Amino acid sequence: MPIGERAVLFSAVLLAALASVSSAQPERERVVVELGNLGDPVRLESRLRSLSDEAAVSVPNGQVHRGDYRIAAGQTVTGNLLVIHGNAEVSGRVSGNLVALDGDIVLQPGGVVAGDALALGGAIRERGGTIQGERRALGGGASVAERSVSGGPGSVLTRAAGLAGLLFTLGLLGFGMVLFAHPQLELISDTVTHSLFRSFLTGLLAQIVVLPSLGMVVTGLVLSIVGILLVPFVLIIVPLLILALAVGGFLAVLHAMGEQRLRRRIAAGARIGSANSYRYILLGLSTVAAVWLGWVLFGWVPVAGGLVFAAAFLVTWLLATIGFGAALLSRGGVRPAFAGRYVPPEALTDEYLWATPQFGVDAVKRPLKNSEK
Amino acid sequence: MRDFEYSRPLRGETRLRAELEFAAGKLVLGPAAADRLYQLSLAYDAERFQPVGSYDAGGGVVKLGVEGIGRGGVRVGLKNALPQTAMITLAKSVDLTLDVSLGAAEATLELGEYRLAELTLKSGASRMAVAFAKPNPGTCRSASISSGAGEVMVEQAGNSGCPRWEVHGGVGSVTLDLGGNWPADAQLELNMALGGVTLRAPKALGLRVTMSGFLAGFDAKGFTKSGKTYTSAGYDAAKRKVEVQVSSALGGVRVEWR
Repeated sequence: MPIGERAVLFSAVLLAALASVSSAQPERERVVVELGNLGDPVRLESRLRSLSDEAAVSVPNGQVHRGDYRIAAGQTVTGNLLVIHGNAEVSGRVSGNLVALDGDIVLQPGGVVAGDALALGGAIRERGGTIQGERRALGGGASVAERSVSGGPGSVLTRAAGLAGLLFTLGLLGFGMVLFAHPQLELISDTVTHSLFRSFLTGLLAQIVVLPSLGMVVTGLVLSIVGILLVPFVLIIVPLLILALAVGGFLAVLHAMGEQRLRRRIAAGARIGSANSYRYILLGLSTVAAVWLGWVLFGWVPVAGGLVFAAAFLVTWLLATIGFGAALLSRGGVRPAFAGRYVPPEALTDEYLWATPQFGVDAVKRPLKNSEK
Repeated sequence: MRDFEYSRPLRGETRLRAELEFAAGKLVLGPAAADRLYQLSLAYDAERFQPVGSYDAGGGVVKLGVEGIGRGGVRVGLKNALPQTAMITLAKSVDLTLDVSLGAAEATLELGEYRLAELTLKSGASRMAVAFAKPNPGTCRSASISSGAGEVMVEQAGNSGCPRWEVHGGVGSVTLDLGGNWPADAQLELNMALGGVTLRAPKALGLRVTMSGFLAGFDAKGFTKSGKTYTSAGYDAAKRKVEVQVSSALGGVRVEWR
């Protein structure tokens, strides 16, 4: 092969190789930003901030510049202008809209923006120039999206403090209930344990009918004329009563959960100091805390944080509904109809009943004592 | 907190319909600089709210304020809502139809220098002070105030030039000062549920109050009663008269002469 032909062949191979290398490189992200309508600056800012620095941004009927950009006197920019991460200094004329991201719009004497002007993360400084359209400036300060992502650690502390405060308050209320209304707490707790599904259905139904019922009562009182005087009392007392039942029921659910956990551990042979209602409440609270811990730690993560919150909220709502229902079934802890108390509690202790099956297959299999044979 | 500035230069417009929406915070409304059609200077809580700022040139309608973005959620923490503030100014030279909706806000509206054509104020649980320091140079058709559980105070209502006023009250209180220069006789319709209305009237003004409704109370001191109508002393000789129609369930109406 002649040298000339070899050179041509070599060049062709080289060009083909270069072309394949260049085509193998990742393509730059191409983004088109519309600046025709600046009516929603928050959305436009969110879109612009979501772009990577390497993105190839283009503006229909306009130009894009990165860094400070100056339009000299006598110079005209036709169409819209987007300046990213820099000031836009106008001594000449912009025939369309002007947007500056993370920079100021500075209007020098004689400078004209024929359309609208928008400074995102900056200000508009008029030094003798004019904006013929609308002017908007969305000042500094992190946007919602930025804050929710970059503010992770700080928001974790805030949420943790909030959760701790809430649990502490619930703990105090629980201890107060153990101290002053222990029989009622036990009864609602037993209702939760023995009539769980019934309690949930009752709580759900009560949530649905409580507001219409209250409305009907108030309407009835108003229509009876004499009863009008009772309306303020009903409007105050009934919500307070509902709140007390809901909180008391929720604490009773915590009590029941703690009791179940502790008794299982005792049954498994764990050495537990004393099993009492204070301990049950604390154990129940720790379970609820574990449910919300995921949200405290990961609540700042977009999407996943929302899902974790929804899950924790759903679990808490289920518990509260069961507790509310149990409180209603037991009439605030005075009616043991659904508490599974077939024998008087003074006759047999809870510990005895737990360790000694009374009914079913377990009871049949239980070896009988000599006195029972 | 973030800042938001929004304005539009005056380009020969002769009328403007301003719809102001302010969910929470402090709002001040006053006259704009001569070269501005409107201007909004806002400091807002970007976590919970977003600014409202749009203008429809065809209809001459501007919407200004802040609206919730539904991110409030359940806040487990000690942080209170951030103190939002808005200063809104509107051109004095245009015929203005003003529609203000407040959520839980504190608002001061100085409307004395506007060419007010129509006024609608809606307040949820807000405290709103409205003043007409100077007579309206334009022609007002009507004014309407709806107050839920808040407090509304109107000063110098006569200067508004509105011949027809409507006040709808929930459980809050409304104080209406009937002073100022009434360009003509006026009608005032009060529809109250449980709240109270105080009318502050100059002695030179003739007042005739007609009560209707259920258990509505009226402090009739200084009035002559005829059926359900109460007429103030010197009504027939008064230069300007205001007919007041009260429709109330349990609310009360009180007149303070000054």
